[in-house]
Amino acid sequence: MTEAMRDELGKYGISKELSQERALLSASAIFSGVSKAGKRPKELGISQMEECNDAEESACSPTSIKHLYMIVDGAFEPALPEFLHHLSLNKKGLPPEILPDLLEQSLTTPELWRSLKENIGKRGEWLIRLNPDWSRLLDEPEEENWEEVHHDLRLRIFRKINQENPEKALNMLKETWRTESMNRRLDFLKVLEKNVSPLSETFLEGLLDDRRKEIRRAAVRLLAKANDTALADRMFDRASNYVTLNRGKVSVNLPDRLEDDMIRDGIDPRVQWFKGGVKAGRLGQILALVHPQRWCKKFGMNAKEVLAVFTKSDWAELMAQAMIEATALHEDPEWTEALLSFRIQNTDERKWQGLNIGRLLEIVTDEAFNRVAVEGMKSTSGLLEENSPITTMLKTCVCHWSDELTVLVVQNLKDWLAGETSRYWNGWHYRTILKKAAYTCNPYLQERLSADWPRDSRIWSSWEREIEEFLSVLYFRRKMIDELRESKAS
Amino acid sequence: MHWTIDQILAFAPDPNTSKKGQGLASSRNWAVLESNGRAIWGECKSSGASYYKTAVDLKGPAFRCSCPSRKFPCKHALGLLLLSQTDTDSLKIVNEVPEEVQTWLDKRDLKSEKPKKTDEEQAKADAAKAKRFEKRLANMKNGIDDLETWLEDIIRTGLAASVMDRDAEFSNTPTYRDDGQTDLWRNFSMRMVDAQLPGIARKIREMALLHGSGSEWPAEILDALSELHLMAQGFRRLDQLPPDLYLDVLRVVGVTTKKDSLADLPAVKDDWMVLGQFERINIDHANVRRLWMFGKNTKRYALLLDYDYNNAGFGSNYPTGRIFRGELIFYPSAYPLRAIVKQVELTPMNLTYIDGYENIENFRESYASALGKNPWLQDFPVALSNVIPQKTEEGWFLVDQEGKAIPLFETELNGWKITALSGGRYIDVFGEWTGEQIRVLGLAASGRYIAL
Repeated sequence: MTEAMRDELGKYGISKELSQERALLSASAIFSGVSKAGKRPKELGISQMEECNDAEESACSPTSIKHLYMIVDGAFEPALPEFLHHLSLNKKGLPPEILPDLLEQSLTTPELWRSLKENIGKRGEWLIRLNPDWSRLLDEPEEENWEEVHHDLRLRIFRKINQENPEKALNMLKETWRTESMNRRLDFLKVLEKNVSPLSETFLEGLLDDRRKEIRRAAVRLLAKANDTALADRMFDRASNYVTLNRGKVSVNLPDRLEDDMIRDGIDPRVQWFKGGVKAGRLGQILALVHPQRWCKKFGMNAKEVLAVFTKSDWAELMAQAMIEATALHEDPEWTEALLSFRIQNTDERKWQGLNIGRLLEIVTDEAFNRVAVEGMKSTSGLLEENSPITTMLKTCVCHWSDELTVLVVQNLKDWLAGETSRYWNGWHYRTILKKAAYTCNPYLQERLSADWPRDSRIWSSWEREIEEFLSVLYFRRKMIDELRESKAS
Repeated sequence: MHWTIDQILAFAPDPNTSKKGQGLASSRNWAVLESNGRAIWGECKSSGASYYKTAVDLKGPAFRCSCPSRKFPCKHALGLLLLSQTDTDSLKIVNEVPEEVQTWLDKRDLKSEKPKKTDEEQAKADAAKAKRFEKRLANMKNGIDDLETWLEDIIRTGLAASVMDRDAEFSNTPTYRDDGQTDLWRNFSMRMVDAQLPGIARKIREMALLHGSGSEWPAEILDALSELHLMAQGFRRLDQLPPDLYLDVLRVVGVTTKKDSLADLPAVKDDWMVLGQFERINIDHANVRRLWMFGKNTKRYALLLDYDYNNAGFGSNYPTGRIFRGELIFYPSAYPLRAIVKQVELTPMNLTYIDGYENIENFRESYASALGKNPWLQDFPVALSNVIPQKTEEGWFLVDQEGKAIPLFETELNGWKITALSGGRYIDVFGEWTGEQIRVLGLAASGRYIAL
């Protein structure tokens, strides 16, 4: 350290007697203190931020805000869509501080954005405009640029136009088809599934000769889904040759060989998706593409009756499995209910375990679900089996439970608890059912459902926690809805 | 005293307890539900055959339960208080209080009235204490000697070489431990523990984590070394310091002031507004909560510091945005901030505004003046009126009406939360000034006070 430096440090009271290291430490300590105490604020100029003009809008009540925090903090997370629904219904606003969290989540969760966008109010729209990351949530797709923008946005534009004007969407797709990659082509065809138009038949027929199997298969599904296309007719004619009705009995013949035109129509000669081997697989593929209502019309029966004759045939499992596939493709409500009802009543798992009703549970309506589930509960005595179809329905379906169904399920659990003495059976599926019921049943049943639990049961202690949790979710949902309905905004 | 559901739920230590407490707020869960006006008590069915005995002293409130939960208050106590406010019909009013509840209430009443020692006993205890402290002081002085030598060594060898140097005596590479600390830092911090200087030991362990982290680490370590040097210099001059600053220096190096020893100090009575709280895990793996209150009439800030070891929960909950009436006792200090609660009661009032600095320049002057009184001040309370958040390429700032700005210590999402609450209008915020940035803990907007 030079003498000049020593002199300079001396001005700050640092003695020349100190060792070089101590002098440096003292200087650093003074510098640190002065920097902290004398730190000058930055000059950014008067804020030019545009003010949000939302004076007439108000957030929900403080209690509702508290409820919302309990939801987003995870204590009642599945109640968020219900909260947003009632918020919108009662014309209340979200508290501003929650918006950034929800908008951020919306970027990766489109379902959240669908229920959120009705509730963001002017404050939300103002906030979104300030953040480029969020602004794409509000971006209205502009079709003029559709060839130049990112693929995700192109899909959004295409989806929107396909909903409003399927012919226009088809023309746009035809124009760019040759330049699209296979995966993008498949994405666009998937969009067409939501609103497949007869106008697209010629274009889709052309795709049956595409060199990629995936494209051919997607085109077949679309042509079959459109129902009044030539392919749909061809497929039904073929099916009718193999499935015939004589004096109330169905006779099923399996195709020995496939003609070239059948292969062109997407039937794979080697597929074994269906129970019964390769030949059964060929018939299964044909049946899975036929609209199930065509059978009702042909036989002059309703879906239940057709299903009954199909499942009395020698190829009952194949027929039921193919009907599930066809119903899922054509999203037919009558057949959905008939098949679910059939599955609930037929619990011989050795015979019917291949019947996967999962895809039907995605399209079943609330009313049909409740009718079938009530029917299933009424025909069940004692414990609901873990892998039974009714258990699968209750565990996985997102429909709202009717009061009748809720009471039946809860009563079933109460009865089982009252009679059960073994502590070792884990009953996980009942726990899952309770968790599902807590958010899908009517919360105003809480008082009724709280009564008459068999607290003297030997296994009550193993269940108390789950049951209390179930009841507390109902209590919370009831309070949440009441508050949104009755309270004044803050 | 009447509480709303919100106010009661704010006492819950976590959302889970809050949820479960609500589940128990129904008379069907309770075998006994009684009150004498001052307290409520009940018996809640446990998962076994027994009943948990739960009581709530409405003066406070204070909670008590025989359940084994380490959460405080537990779900039973919370459920009982909720029930008492939402379903008064199920509560039986009685004059006779169960013995254990009465004993508990009596103890609470007598808590502040400790039996006094005789003069002789007191003199004896004081002498023993002074003797013990004298011994500790000597030990600490030796430790400070070592600290100064260690600091000089580090400055002599340079910051980058400091880690390598000591370890090079045994090997050519520094030994990093699982926690990222080299033996150099760890060994010297242990030496400081031996010298009964835990505050300095903690600082050294924190410094070890700075080493090599981010591009600013040499400046940050030099800053920390300067702070240690300042601590050593302060300790050297203990005898020359005014009494309050003397105590500040002792606290900085790690001499704790027992809460009991504050009992005789004058308490400050006020309506205490809870402005915000901040929790973090410290270097000793304890959950630390810093809770800030502001006296409505005295215009004083108070910092309640609480530690939660092993997730047992903090002793008391003071919800942000609420106002408590009562008395706090401040630790003696050249710039008194830290305090303990002597006795407070929740009022029905909610906080809707903040009494803050009119501009950033005024705050800066206050902070400089406070540092002049106590150079070891750590996080400093700051309330600012009429500021607006602004995002720049350098990060988030709070800008006052004169265009002056201070940086926000915030995550991206919190910056947006503050912006959302402002709605493009000037707002009042409260936070902690770290010396470099403001960590916003609460703000008033549209007639509401919101904790962040």
